[in-house]
Amino acid sequence: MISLPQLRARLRAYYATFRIGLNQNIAYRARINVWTITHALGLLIYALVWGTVLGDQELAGFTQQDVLTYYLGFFVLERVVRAHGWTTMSTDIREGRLSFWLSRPIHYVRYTAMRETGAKVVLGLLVLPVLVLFLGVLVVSGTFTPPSGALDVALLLAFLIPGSALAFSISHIMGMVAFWLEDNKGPVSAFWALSVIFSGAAAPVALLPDSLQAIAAYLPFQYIAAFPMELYLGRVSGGQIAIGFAVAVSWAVILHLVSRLLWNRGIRRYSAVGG
Amino acid sequence: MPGMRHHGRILVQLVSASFKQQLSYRTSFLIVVIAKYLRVAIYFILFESILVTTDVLGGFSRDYVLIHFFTDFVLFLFVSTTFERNLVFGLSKLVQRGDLDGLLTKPLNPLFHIAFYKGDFYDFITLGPLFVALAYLVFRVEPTLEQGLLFLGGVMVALLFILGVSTIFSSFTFRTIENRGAGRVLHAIFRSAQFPSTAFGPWWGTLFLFVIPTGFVATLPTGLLSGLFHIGHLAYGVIFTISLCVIGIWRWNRSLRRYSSASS
Repeated sequence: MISLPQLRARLRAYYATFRIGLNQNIAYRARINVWTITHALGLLIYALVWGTVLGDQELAGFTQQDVLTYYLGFFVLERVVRAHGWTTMSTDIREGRLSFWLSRPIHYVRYTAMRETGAKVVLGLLVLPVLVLFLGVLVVSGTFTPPSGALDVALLLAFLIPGSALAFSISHIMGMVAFWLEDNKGPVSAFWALSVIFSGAAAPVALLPDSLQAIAAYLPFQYIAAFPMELYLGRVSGGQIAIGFAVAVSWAVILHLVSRLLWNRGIRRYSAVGG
Repeated sequence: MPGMRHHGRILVQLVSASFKQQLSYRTSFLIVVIAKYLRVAIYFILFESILVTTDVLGGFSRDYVLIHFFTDFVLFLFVSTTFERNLVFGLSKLVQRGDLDGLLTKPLNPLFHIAFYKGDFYDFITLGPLFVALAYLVFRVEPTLEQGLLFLGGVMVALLFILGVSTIFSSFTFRTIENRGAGRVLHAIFRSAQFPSTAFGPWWGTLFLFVIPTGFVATLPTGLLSGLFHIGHLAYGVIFTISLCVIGIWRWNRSLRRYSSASS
């Protein structure tokens, strides 16, 4: 059982880590800008293709307006929620720098999570100009679907919590693969390939073939950004929202437990020389 | 400067060394190759999803959309196996580590050496079956000799275009040192080549076909094969890419002359 002074000390440590992430990303904000531009361009291409393909027709309840709004919201949500700590984690494991953190009175996984949270504050601020620009273009061209009510926006924001937890756990699991494989490029590539389709990036999940939609419903990817955007567009009913939230939270818990299991197993087989 | 035969022998040795290095992590090699096929399959599914909504995408019927899809993948796998990734990302690492100086002392054309110093065999292994699939699809549409030659001409334009862009891009590395971020932006722009440029609508289509012509990569060859484009489009492509390559090589040589080592 942890005492109050110990708890205070830990919280101070996590806050300090949060500030490290914040300050690092303020210092190296050009890198975030590059990733933001890269990501925006990728989604812009999908949005243009689907927007042109749909034209004046409607498909699975999606109009051209809905698709363009979907991709704008998807871009913002994904940039803010998605975690990238796996690259640092896998490098630290492979190059033995993890040893430094194992001797520190802060859990490495929580350290990466707090540092990334600090980074996300900067990322969120840097995404704002892009959001305003594209939102302006959509509003002026009359292709923006406004929210149907404050409740939809509130529910969308509520989904950020399990979505963030999912993203963190997935990132940590990807990073921890380095405990077993010298080069985790393969599993990460495979994972991101699946993520492109099932997360709703390449196409809104509702526009995928029925068989893939059925698979996507049981996977965690769409609950990071795609499902909240479908909620915003009013395409998800009350009961479906509750089920979606339950599935997202369940996956967040399962992946967190998997992450802990992998960490405990991985640490036992970890070894480093020098440093 | 040694001739073509010498460079050819060196190329074989570079290729062999890269292959051995990547095969040393066999499990990872296998998983990466599987992941590459998975990526191709997933994008194939994406195109199938699009083709459910429409029989024609950007003026291309289903058969030609598939040809476009495989042309894009085959070309990008080919260039990333060979020179593209080395020029766009690899040169930056060489400059930062100071390894470029060692490469420059070798009796080889620097552009050749840097472009081919490391081969990506993950992409090479993936390339084979996709090339076969592309060849099958092209023969299935029963092109005339003229269409076939125009298609091949379009493919050559695509390769030269990517070479020219990569060379120009890499020439800035000597000055900026770190340009991997810009390389990612370049790759993001090239992602537009996955889709027929004509599918982006009139404005964006014109941009991607004539101004920032990523459409040269797959839309031009496929359009020439299908008859959507004519020899005038090919001529524009040839002139544009030759100009790009000339500028690229000129910039490269100029930047190399002004390069001062970042290492000790």
